[in-house]
Amino acid sequence: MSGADPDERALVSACLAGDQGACAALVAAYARMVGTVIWRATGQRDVIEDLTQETFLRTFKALEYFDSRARLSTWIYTIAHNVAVDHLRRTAGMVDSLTWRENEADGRETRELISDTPGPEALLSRAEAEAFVNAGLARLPLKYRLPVIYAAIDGLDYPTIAGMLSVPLGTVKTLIFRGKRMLKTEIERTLRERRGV
Amino acid sequence: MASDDGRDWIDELMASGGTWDPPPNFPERVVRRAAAARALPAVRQRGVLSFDVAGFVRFLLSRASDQILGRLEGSAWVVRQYCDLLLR
Repeated sequence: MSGADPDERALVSACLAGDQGACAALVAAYARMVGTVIWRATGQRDVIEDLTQETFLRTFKALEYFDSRARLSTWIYTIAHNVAVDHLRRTAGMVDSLTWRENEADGRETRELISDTPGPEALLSRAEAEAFVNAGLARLPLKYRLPVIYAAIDGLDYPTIAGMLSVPLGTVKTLIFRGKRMLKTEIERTLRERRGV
Repeated sequence: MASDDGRDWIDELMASGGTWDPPPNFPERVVRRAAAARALPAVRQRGVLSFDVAGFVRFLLSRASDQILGRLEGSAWVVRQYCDLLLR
């Protein structure tokens, strides 16, 4: 954990002292990434602005408890992650009713399928491939889906994702590895069905 | 299928949507909403301060009923107890 840099500490101190310009600067510095995290996590564009605002409201309410040994960005992205998960839970079924047949994703057959099948990027148009990825993601349990989604966001490294999810770095790597494997299996199964194999 | 940085076609596809761009004046709007919701730190501290004065008076009176009022007068003990309570 590298901790907050001096600029971040100064920004936090100014916010805590009541400087509303500093509060606006804090929002300006992190809004793009917070909105992107929420967008990708929820998959809903129409909730981004409201949930991003909610993230910063929670940030300001908790700012006096921010531990400067942590990175401010990771702390704020963690709040964004929690806001997104809360939203997904509120909007119900789309999270818990979607279950992955995990055993199927772990079998030898899966590895054979992956090695025998050309990547979808070689078989589909980009739009089709994106649709397949989105459909596959929707079938992943949240536990795997969010790490995989976060890993694809430019600017979020594994240590940051580990901080957001409050899990060890090794766990994040495992979740991403397994999540991607499940996703590839799901896409390739759909492709195989489409080809009538 | 994986690039040098460990990203593969899935990452590339998912990242291709780009990032969310905040609308104009978004930071100012967030700060206004936070101020209205009393979520800004300084606003919250002012709220806590006014609450704490009332709380301190209540605390003082409750302790005064247990202690001899004469011993409380001018004593830092009550203040220290109250601060300990707040910091707990």
